[in-house]
Amino acid sequence: MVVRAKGFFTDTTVCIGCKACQVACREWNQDKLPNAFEHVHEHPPHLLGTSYDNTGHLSSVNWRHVKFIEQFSEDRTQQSRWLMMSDCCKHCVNAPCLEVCPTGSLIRTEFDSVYVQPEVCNGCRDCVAACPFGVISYGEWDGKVHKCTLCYDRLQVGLQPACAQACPTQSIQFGDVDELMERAKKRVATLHERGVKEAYIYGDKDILYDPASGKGGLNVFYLLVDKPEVYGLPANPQIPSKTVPKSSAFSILTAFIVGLIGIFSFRDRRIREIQKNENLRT
Amino acid sequence: MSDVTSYALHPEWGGYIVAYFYLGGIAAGAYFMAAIIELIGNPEDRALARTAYYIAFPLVVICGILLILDLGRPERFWHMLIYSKAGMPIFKYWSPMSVGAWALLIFGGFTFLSFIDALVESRQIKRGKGGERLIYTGFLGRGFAFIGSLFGFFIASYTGALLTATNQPIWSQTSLLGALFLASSASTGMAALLLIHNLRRHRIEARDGSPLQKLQHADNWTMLLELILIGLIIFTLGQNVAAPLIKGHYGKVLWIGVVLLGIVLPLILHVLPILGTRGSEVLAALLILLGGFLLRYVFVMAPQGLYFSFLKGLTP
Repeated sequence: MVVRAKGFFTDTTVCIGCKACQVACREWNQDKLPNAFEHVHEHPPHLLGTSYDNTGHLSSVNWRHVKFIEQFSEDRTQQSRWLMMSDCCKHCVNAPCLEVCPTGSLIRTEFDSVYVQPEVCNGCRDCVAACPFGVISYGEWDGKVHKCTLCYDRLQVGLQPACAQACPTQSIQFGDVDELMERAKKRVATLHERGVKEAYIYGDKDILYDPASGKGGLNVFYLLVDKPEVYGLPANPQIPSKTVPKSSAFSILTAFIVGLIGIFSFRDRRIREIQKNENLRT
Repeated sequence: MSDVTSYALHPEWGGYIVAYFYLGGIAAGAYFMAAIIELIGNPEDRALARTAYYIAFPLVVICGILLILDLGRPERFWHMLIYSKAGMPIFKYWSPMSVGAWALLIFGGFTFLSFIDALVESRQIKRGKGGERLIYTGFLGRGFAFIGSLFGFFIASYTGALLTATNQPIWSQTSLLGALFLASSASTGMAALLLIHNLRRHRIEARDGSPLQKLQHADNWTMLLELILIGLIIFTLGQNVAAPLIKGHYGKVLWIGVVLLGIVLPLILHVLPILGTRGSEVLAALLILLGGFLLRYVFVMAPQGLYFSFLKGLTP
């Protein structure tokens, strides 16, 4: 039973790219992840080496990732800025991964977060295909999927998630989602007043909105100052099950047509029966 | 269809899944034809129905094995049906994979009973005087055939709905994959029956109105339907979104392997048996089966950027 939804408000305008959150996440969860140094020679860590953003994306071993978006013009005078964003699982209100999971491994916790039960997951990877954000990832090392747990183990004992605690600039703020959203809207208004007109919230109710339930949004939402695509976020992600009725209708129609083709091709028994009856009559 | 940027990771559904979609489709298509024969066919068509039952059950067993092998934790295959923490069945009607797992189990049951039934009928299994049918008698038997074929159709098409119920490029942008896979399943199921009966020493004569001729007739129309569906999918996706399917490596496989060799050439061979009746039928059936496999290959692998190493030569 969800008491009050918990989540993060990530204000990307105050992120300094220190990666304290990424380190804190990895450190707290090290018991759930493979030892990075044990097989380092066989499986060297995949590091980009072309940017301060070394890990590149979220993965089965990196549940938090600080994106370094480098917007520089050729001569570095027309435009030069770094956008930084600390990314993790969005703990969607209508979570596509949870929706499609056939085993019940993915559950919604009492904090309204989305959690993978590692003892249940069998590595079918349907959730990987469903997640529009590329968050949940398959771990070759144990045949299961992994992602941010919103530090479920810490929340259960009254602690806040490791990343939020480690963040030195309060770019990652943890709390009740409704309160965080109010705070975020005030922050957007402040930024607008100060001339940052492009500031907006990504992850309010409009994202992954389900008209049937009237619910939508992300429990982990962001304040952005450029298009979602610039941050590697989809502008209009879809709820997978919404496609099923239409898909099923076309399949049923095709089944009907194939059925008719079969019946018309093999129908001569009935024709013969009718002919036989007519012959008997005459 | 607008061009939508996708940030979703790929599930890396590769060879096992392509093979499952393909073999499951053949089993479902063959079983469906058997059901049609049960419902409205002649006694002389029964040999075809029996062959369908002989191939459907083993194929479904192979499908189960393929699905298990594809799992990251194959020993946990039963988690698809039972919620391991509570020991209770788990069924999520809104999740195509959950429904598909149950449907495959039930379809497996249908194909198993039909398989046994065919063995009894052909006296491979002695029961009473032999040659008697086990389940397919009267109204109940026809009901069994009808319901079994519905599950077969479900197995043939849910795989497409499963791909659509994701956030992957191409898959999630068309609602016609289930329909296409269904048509291809029916076509390949019929082709498998045509192939087996043409290779048998005492094959059924392909004269006018014979079972094989009727099957060929049905397969021709189904292939035309398949061709229309491929066209519709590409048209509705638009050139930009459909580019991975229609250009480069997968484009070659789609246009040459699926459309030309897998649909157009078999249709020509069916209408103009230039290699003699039997030779043309065998070649046509083989090509249809090849086309069905390549169809799954293109539609499953292209959106994920995966490919089989033996098809590497076709990479651009």
